[in-house]
Amino acid sequence: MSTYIVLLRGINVSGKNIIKMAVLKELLTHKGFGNVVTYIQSGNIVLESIMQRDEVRQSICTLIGEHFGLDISVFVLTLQEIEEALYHNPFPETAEPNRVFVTFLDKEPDAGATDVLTAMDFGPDEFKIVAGVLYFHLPAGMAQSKMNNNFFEKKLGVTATGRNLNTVRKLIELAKK
Amino acid sequence: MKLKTDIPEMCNDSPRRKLISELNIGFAEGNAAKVMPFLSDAIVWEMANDKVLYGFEEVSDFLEQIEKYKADLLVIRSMVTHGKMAACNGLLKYGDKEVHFADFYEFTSAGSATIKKITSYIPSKLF
Repeated sequence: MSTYIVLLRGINVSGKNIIKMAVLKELLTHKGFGNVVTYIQSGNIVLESIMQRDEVRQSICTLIGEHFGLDISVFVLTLQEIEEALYHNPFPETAEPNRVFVTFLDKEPDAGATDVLTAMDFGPDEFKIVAGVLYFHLPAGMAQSKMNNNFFEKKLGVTATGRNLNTVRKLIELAKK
Repeated sequence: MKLKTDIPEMCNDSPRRKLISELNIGFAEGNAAKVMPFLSDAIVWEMANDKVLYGFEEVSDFLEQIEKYKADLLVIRSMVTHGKMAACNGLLKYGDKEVHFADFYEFTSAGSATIKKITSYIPSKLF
């Protein structure tokens, strides 16, 4: 039995892709996943399964499609992967955890696209890609920034989903329970 | 106990007014799942003289922490909408405790149904 951290992309935001997490939890449990825990409305799930990662992803995509009629990108991580992502955070410990985002990508972005982005001026905002994970720090908050999940997806030609440091830490805590 | 509401008819006479009524009902019910879809990813919720919450995740986390607080009564006294701004004031009753509130909402645009900023004025700390 393996523990997985499942991140759903772009749900419950701005009236789009509405998935009630309490309903999803019941469906996942009924489907045979063990110890299903959800955290907040942004699509975070910790669960156990005997299936391999790709099977878990496919199973959840299918379930969401069948029950909610939605085509949602699903990211499935192991505890080790999410711990490593936290460990590799390139921003200082002093950065406020609600202003640092850890964004998981479906594939390695094209080096040329990354270079173009690196050359752009974002003022105080910064991004870095470390070991295939994109991190960005918005000292003045998200409301004033160009940087967000959609922006990086468009510029880098990837599918992505991000969480702030507080959420990442919480998910690790839940996965270790 | 099911939430009782006292919401003037005029608060449901346009999509935006209805949205603000629904948002307040969701909050009064302690129902994060009902509130969050009205908010943008970059939502900022400023609670004057208390704290500021930044982003969808932080607001969602806060609302889930206070889900146990379910109001018995929600009274909306007045509501104003104009352009991308809206405001609403009223009263929440939790048992014997009455909490008066005034909230200002900023939408992402004049025609949008997504809120990007809430500023709340509450005389005493709610939770």
